[in-house]
Amino acid sequence: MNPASPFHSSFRRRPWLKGVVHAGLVATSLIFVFPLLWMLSTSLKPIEHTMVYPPEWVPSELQWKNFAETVRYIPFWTYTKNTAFACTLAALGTTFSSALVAYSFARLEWPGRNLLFGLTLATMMVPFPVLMVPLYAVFRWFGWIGTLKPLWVPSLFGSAFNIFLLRQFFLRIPKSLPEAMTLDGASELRIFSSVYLPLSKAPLAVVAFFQFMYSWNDFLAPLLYLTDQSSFTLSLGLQFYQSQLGGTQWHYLMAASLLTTVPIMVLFFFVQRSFLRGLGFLKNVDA
Amino acid sequence: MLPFVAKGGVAAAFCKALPWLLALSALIAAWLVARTAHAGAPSPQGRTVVTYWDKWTDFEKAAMQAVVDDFNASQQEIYVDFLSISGISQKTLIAIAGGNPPDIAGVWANDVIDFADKNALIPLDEMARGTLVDRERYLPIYWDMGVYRGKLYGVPSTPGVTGLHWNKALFRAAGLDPERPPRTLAELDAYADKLTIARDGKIEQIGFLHSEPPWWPFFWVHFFHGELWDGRANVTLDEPRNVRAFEWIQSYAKRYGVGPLQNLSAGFGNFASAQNPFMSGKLAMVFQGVWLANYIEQYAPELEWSAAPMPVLNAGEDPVVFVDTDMLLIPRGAPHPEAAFRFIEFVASQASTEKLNLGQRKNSPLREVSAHFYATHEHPHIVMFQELAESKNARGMPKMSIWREYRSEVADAFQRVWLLESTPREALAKAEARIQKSWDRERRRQAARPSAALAWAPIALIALFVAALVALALRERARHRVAMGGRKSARAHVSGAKGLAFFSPWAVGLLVFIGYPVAASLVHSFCDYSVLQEPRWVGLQNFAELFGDQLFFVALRNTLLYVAFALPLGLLIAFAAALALDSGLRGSGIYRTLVFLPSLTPVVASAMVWLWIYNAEYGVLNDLLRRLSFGLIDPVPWLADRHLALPSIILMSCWSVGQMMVILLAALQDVPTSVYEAADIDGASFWHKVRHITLPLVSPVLYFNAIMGIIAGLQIFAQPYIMTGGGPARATLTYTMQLYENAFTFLRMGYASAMAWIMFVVILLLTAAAVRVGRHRVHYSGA
Repeated sequence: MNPASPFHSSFRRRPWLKGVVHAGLVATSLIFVFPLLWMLSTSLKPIEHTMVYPPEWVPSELQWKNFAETVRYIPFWTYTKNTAFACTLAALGTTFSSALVAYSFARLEWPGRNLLFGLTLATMMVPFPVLMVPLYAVFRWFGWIGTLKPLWVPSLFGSAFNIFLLRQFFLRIPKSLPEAMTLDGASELRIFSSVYLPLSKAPLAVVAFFQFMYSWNDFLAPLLYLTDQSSFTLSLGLQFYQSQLGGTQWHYLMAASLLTTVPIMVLFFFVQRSFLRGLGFLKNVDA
Repeated sequence: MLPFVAKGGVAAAFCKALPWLLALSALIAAWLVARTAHAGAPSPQGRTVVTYWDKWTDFEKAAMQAVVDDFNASQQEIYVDFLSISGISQKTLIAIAGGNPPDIAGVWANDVIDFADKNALIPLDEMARGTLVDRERYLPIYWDMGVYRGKLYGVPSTPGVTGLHWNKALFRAAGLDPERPPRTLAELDAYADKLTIARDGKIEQIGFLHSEPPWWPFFWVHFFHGELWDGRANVTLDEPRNVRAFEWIQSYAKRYGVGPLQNLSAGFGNFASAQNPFMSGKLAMVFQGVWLANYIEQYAPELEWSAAPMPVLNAGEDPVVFVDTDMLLIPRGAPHPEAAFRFIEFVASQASTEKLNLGQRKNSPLREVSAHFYATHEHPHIVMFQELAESKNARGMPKMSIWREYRSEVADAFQRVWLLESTPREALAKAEARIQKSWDRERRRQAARPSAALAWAPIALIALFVAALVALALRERARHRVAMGGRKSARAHVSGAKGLAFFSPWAVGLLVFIGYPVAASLVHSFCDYSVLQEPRWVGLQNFAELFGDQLFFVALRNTLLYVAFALPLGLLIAFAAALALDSGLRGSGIYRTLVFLPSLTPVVASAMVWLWIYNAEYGVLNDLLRRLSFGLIDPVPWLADRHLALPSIILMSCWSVGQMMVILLAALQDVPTSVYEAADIDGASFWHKVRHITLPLVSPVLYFNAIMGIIAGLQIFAQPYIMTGGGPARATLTYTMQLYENAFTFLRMGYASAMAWIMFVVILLLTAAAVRVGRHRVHYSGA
């Protein structure tokens, strides 16, 4: 029982209310988790069992080979490799570059700093559709259309949201330690790498995870810039189950969707603690 | 104690490895950036490989493949790699825009105009000089379709020509001579009357229909010697001869009744099927192309039919014939244009052209036709069709760059006339006014010259902006110095250089990946721009056009509806769930994880699973409703129903509120116990506390989420794109989808940029409004 909750005194006065809230939570959780279970259930059915009404909620026979077959139905591993490649580079690149920039915003004093920080925040309002057409021309000029580069190279130069997040964190690191190091003649780069980075493992992990998830999810940018099927990411590849002649292969599609979801969930469990705290950190926003 | 330092665990290990990983990734990055150039792959035989995309499948593909094989065997330098591509026009255009086109593309005649207008093609005149690709060898009507603004862009490959096809058995049954087709339009009407069988107000068989096939409602005007366009500035859709043609069309609707005709048409099957009304005997006479014979052979081999020129207005006139052709063209940016042209020339030879059109069972685009062609052709009426292509009254589609729009306006007018909703004069006058306006605009656009200055304008804009920033920064520093009493601090100066050094990656990011695009998009919104040539200034034309574009408003409306419902609903659910989880009940951790997990599901995967849940036939949602209602609720076609599709997508969006919930939960945990205790002493009710304590204290977080939610929601794309493609009846067409389509299907990038800027302004206005509201309603604690 949490005393810092508006429910606290109501629960004390009317204990049955606890049951009501509990039931509500159970129902909500079930509703939320149901689509994932349905994905799993369908992914294990033979195709004939997906096309029946009423649908089987629990597969009457488990066909594990769906998973083996779904990865052959489309070039699944190629797409996974492409996706993992672009996402990893994007995540690492943006984490490092955003940290550098956040450091310049949080600790260093330079002319125009506040102005540019304001500008950085303002760029978060620019919708992607404004950027996508000219970016297409830029990438075309670089010769990147049809390659994975448009998906990760830009993140080597930082991203506004990540810079903002890391700056907010860096501001909380007490200034005394780096100042002492400065007096000892340590360079800013050294202070950055030996004080700020080690103290910021959790937010860095959060930023890396955020970017990884964002890139993994991204649909529109791959749709625009990947013109060659061999460079497709999973987001684009999943569509192939849909457009085949003779209707959708729902059991394969669900198996592939599950396979696409699992890496993110696994990764999440690794960074869970930092991530939940990192999300919590977002509450300290100054609008 | 810092709140963030994770102790041990994977995160720590990850962080220890981070510098190494970063160094490694930088190396990989450098290597990848360095090797952008790709060498042209030589074929196994060391020949130049020419990529050729065309639309053909089945026997038509085989016919082209045979010609390709001949070419590959005829010489040793060039190897043509022929690929069959669906959606050829769009894919070719996009490939050209992406700078990675095939060497040759086979598209429809009308695409030549569209592509050439976008500067997407290489003119062939130079290469064609002194070769077999020569005007004199081709039938002029086909040759001219490849010429745009005086330049040759396409070479006809497989042409088409049309005539009257009739069902002999039905003629016989109606007491007509099965060997004598109608020769004038008056005869056609009389025949049609005799061939129509109606019982109890229900038409079972019809003699002739203008709406079958529905492909060329614009063509009927030519039977009355009308024209769609004067070839220059004037659209002539509402000229009296055209009105007469549409009165003729309407006379059928009046004679047979709109209702009975609609009922009849509803039973017509696909063109390429045995249920095609002509093949199934529901339609006795049809205006169709030379290709119909192939389909009859495939789907209704028993059908007794014949073909003749279409009847004419006055006996003895040259027959009115609709002609069209497939074209071979060389895209701009093709790696091997010379080699590509060698293949085109090979196809142009009489032997290859005839072989190709024998295989595809079409007529020849050439003036000279060999006896062998006629003798071996499988089409029983090929001689007649070949002659039809030479008729003085043969017409193609007008070579207007706005033809797509023209055509859909005429189709609309046709529909209204056909359904007796409008008189022909009114319908055509209305369409005429709209098309003329659009054509005027188009001519102004074409008159504007592409301008290199406009291509540099975004960079100039950025330079100005950077200069302003520097000036502001310098002023700030000067003011700072004054405040410091004029002392020039050495350290501050050094730190300035360091600060800029640390900032530099983002400086590049800001300039190249945000600044330039924003500026370019602003400039392009006042331009005609297709990425393939420098922009042309058109002033406010894009915006004027947008405000006359129905689809723009449909998309805007859908998107605003989406945000207006999905965002509050999501916030409400997230807040309620966070509140309940925060009450400290046992198992909260598990519930939190379960509600949170779906928000980790990739957008495409979640779209797929919801597509399956919403499935009308086998979907689990319908089953659930049926069970809960004890069989009372009938299956609902969620995404196929025009009123339910958007709400279904809104409902689905609530599934991924997990992240928002977790943030709110963290904010709730910051609310101190003391304020609730104080409220309890005052005897405040539960709602009172939520309303006056909880909400105000978490309002900054709600507020931040609301603004981010508005920005993200207005850009919704993937879910409707994957699940409904914008349908049914455009009920889920969103703003970004419409923008994407304009930019990347039609390459109307200036128009798309105007759309994007309107979206940007809407976001700015909504955010400004939210900030205003926030100033009064959001409670920031002293922290």
